[in-house]
Order: sequence, then structure tokens, then C-alpha cells
Amino acid sequence: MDRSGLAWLHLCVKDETTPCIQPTELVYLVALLVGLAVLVVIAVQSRDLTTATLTLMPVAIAINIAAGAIVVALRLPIYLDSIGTVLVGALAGPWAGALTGLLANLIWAILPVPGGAGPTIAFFAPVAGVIGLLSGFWASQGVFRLRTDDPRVGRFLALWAGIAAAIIAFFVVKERIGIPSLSVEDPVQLADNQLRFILIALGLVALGLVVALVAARTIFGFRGGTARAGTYLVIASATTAGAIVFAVLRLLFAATGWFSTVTGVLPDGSPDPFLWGANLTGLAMPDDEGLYLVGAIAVAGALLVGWWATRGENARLFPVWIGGLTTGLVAAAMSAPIAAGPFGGVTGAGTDALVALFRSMGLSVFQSAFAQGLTSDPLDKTLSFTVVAAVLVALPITVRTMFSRGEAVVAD
Amino acid sequence: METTSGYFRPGDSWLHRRNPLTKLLGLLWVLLAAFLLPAPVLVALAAATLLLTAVSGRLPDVLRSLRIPAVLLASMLVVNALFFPGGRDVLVSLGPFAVTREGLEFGVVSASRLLVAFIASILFLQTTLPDDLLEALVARGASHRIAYVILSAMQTVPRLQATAATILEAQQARGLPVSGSFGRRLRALVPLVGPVMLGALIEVRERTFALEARGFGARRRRTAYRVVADPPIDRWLRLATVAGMVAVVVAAVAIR
Repeated sequence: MDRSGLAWLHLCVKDETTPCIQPTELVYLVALLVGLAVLVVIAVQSRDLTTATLTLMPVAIAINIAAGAIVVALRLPIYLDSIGTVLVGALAGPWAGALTGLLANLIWAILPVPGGAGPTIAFFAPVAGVIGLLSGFWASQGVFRLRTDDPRVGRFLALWAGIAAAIIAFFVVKERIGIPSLSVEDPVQLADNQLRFILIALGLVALGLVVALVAARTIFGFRGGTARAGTYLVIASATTAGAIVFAVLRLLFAATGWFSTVTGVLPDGSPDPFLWGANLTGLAMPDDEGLYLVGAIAVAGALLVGWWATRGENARLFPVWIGGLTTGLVAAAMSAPIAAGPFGGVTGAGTDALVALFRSMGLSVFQSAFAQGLTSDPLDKTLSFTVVAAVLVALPITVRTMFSRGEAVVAD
Repeated sequence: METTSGYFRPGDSWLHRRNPLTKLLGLLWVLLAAFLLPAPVLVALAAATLLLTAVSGRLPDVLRSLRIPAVLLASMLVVNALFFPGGRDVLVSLGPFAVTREGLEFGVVSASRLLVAFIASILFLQTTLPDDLLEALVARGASHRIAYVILSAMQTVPRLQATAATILEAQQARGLPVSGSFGRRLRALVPLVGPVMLGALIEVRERTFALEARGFGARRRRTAYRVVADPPIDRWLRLATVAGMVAVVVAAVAIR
């Protein structure tokens, strides 16, 4: 036996009963340390904030709290509590944005706002901080200023092409080789499968990167003028919208989709309490017909978005949405462990309905919180980024130019 | 200033007279203990917090403010009791739903941790004026610029709400329909939220000039207008709280 009394100081193996450290606990600890480090950087950086930035921050915090409180009161499954954070990130840089997000959530927790979220919101302050950082980063990449004829939209198109290539390659691998299962019992087979899984994942990421880099230098480099950039943006917006519609509908309505699992009876034959034992398997459409129908709806969605993007300068929102979507994904990944840890996945807001839905599908606390985040966050952040883009355009130039990045961030 | 006080309720109890930093450390200790120590400790922690609340004469107010987390606590209990995956031991069958023992236990423990944390937080907020807390922090070397951001944000929230009410009336006077179907209310949002946000952002310019004219950006040493009392007993209380935090962390690690 270990005499130092530190025998528990190792990571848990699967199903271990002796005292050990759960991987999730290690994640919490690492997150805490990273958070403290970021806090120190923010503190150092905040010494350089100008008076204008320091005056903007309270207003941004108030906008966050006011908009967020309305959404909480309406019990909508989104948040809209980061519009001010994204605004400061865009105008005054990522560190100011991070500080705004942190303070907004902490102040919201101690303010008696009607319909307020109460002290729970303070636990999500790190997420708000990272949203500020990311919005500052995306603003510095020009998401809020690129016109459709700017050669720099090529970088966002290249990123889109890389992601699309990786997704297509994933399906090719799945059909041709098969994705190795990670739930096999045999430890030797499991290790082998894990290695192959990691290799495939790395291969897909590498392919996406190569495609993005090559595309950025060739087709999306726009050396011969940017006449076609607008067309590409319309195509990219339309295909993205179509793919999202298709994926969501297939998840729900496919022959093996979610509705096929709502049979009204549990595997052991007893009646399922979910939805009062309703049998919704009729909504799971058999293949070919279902595939064609969902495909047709997705094409209609793509055409609708494409038509909208051709009008005026609407297509320039494509980079804004890339920023919003990626920020939302990061926010979901960060808020899931927080929601699952102290709150058991439930935070008293409109998003609880989603969590209850995922829980009833048999997901764990963590998985439901993450699934809820993946549903709410990208939508919410895309909406917030779009609102900020509109506000930045409407802001008088005398106000905009008071901030360190105000001139560089918005198109004239 | 009514608007900056937040949850603060004036008074002259023992807790009111403590230095804000002492109370802040005490609050951190309670939060640490509530989330790190095992569930049975929560009972003692809740009793101690409630006793302190009663001694400070804040019991009715604190109990009344429990309606703020009521929805959250109730939904934590209900969702976990009904939808806890792996809940095998069915206690009550409520029509289509079933309350499981595992789910109820998990829900009760999570809700209790949060309840203790909430009572301690609200007691801290009701007995501490935000101005005093920030003044005490600035006197200890915290940035006066960040203190300005926090206090100003707390004042801006009610002001923004007042502006929103004014703009709502103004737009209604111009004939904007703000009631009716969901779609109609949604369309009314842009002419309401737009002026509120842009007005507040344009005001930033005037405030910046006003602050600069009063030497906000000056780097010289500043003197304080408010001086926050720091009785000698507070120093000992702070030392004891820090020792208590170390003890909680050591205990949490040791009992694993």
C-alpha cells in the first residue's frame, strides 16, 4: 500500500471503485487554473483601457442584463445576454470584451432585476468572458466590416470549404471503411479502435486544413478581382442553410431518427412516461420517400436563404454568422460542465424544457446540458452577432471612432 | 442613491457593522463549504447561516427573497426526480411520470447546496452597501477604474429601463402597435430596442468627456471621499475565515 496517503491521486480507470480522481474533476480543476490565468491577463490588460472603453462597458453590461432579463422572463430557449459583450469585443478588443462579459454576469447576479435569473448566472461568468474574447478575435478578422467585394471574405469562404470537405470525407469514410466502435468490451480491440478513431479524426482535420489553405490561395484568393466573391458568398450561405435544415430534419424524421424511438413503450415493455406514452413512430418516415421529402425541404430552405442573400449586401452577413456559430459552439462546450455540475443541468430558464427533453431521451446530465447548449448557443450567438453588426452600422462615426478598434472594425 | 443600493437594506446589526471584505471572505467560505463538503454538512451550514440571518434581524426579508430562486429550485427537484437517468427505485407513480429515489436524492442535494449558497449571498447583499464594498476594495489596491465600471453598470440598468419605458410611450404616441399577435409584437421590437440601445451608446461620448474633464484618467494618487470602518475584530475574523477555507479544502481532499 501507498503510505503517503496519496493513493487516490490518479485518474480513474473505467469502473474503478478505489478512491481516485474522475476525469471530469480533472477537467474542472484545469478549467479553474486556466480561468485564473486568464483573469490575471485581463487584470493586466485592463490597465490600458481608455476612458471611452471604461464608459462603454457599463452601458454594454446594462444592455446585456436588460435584454437577457426580457428573454428569461419570456422563457425562450435562448439567452440574448451577450449583445453588449460582443459589441465591446468588436469596438475595444478581446480583453475589454472578456472583462465586460465577466462583470455583466457577476453584476446581474447581485441586481434585483425583475424576472432576473438570480445568482445562478454568476456561475456562467467564465463562458461570458470567453464570448467576449472570441468576439474580439472575430472582429479583428474583419467579420463586421467585410463588404461582399472585399478580397478578405476569401478566408471565410476557404474556412467554409475546409469544413465542408471534412464533413464530406467523414461520410465517405463512414460508408467505405466504417467508423471504429468505441464501445467494444475487449481491451485489445478497444485500444486498436481508439487508435484508428484518433487517426481518422486527425486525418479529417488535416484534410479540412489542406483544403482550406489551398482554397484560400487559389479559387478564394481573388487575385483577378472580386467580381465573383458575392456569388460565392450566396452559394456558401445557401448550402450551409440547406445542410443545417437537412441535418436537423433527418435527426428527427429519418427511419432511425429520433421519432422512431418514441414508441410509447420502454424496452422492458412498460409504458413510457414521456409524452404520456404517445407513439410517434409514424413520424419516422421510411427511406427513399423520407429522404426525398427532407431533401426537397432542405433545397427549398437553401433557395430561400440564397435568394435573400442576393438582395443588396445581405451576403456580407456570412462571415458574421461564421463568427456567431463558432462562438456558440465554444460557449456550449464551456457551459455544459457548469450547468451539469452545480445545477444538475437545470437553471430555471426557458432552456430547462430542452434539458428535460434530452433527459427523457436517456441522455446523462452532462450530455443533456451539452445537447441543450448545442441547440441554443450557436443560434443565440449567431443572432447576437447579427444584432451587433446592425448596431455597428447604425452607430454614428463620432461615437465609433472613440474606441481603439472602432475605425478598423466597421465598413464605411 | 436609491438605484445603486441593489438588494441592500439599511440597518445597524452586528453583521451590518462588519467590514465588507470580512463579509465577502465569509461568503466565499460558505460557498466553498456548500459545494465541496458532503451533503450532511449542508444541514449544519444552513442552520448556521439562518442563525446569523436571524441575529442580524434579516430573517423575514431573506425568507421573502427566496421567491427569486423558487422556480429554479422547484425545476431542479422536478426535472431530476422525474427524468433522472438510471433512476430504478420508483417511489410514486404520477400518471405518465414516475418519481425515482435516485432522482429525488440528487435533486434534493443539488437544490440544498444552491439554497445555502443563495441564503448566504442574499444575506451578504442585504447587509453590504455596494459602494462600501468597492470603496474597501479600492482602498486595498483594487483598480478604481473597474470599481467605476461596476457601480456605473448597476446605475445604468434602472436608467436604461426608464429610457425604454419613455421610448415605448413615445412610439405608441406615434401610432406604433405594441400589442396583439406574437408576430406583431416581434415586429415592434426593432423600433423600440433600436433607439434605446443607440441612445445609450451615443451617451457614452458625453460621459467620456465629462469623466475626462474631472481627471478620471489621471495617474496620480487619489484620496477617498468615503472611509469604510474596519474595527480591529474584523482583522481576526478575516484571519479565521482564511484558516477556515484552508480547513474546508483539506477536509474535502482528506475524506475522499
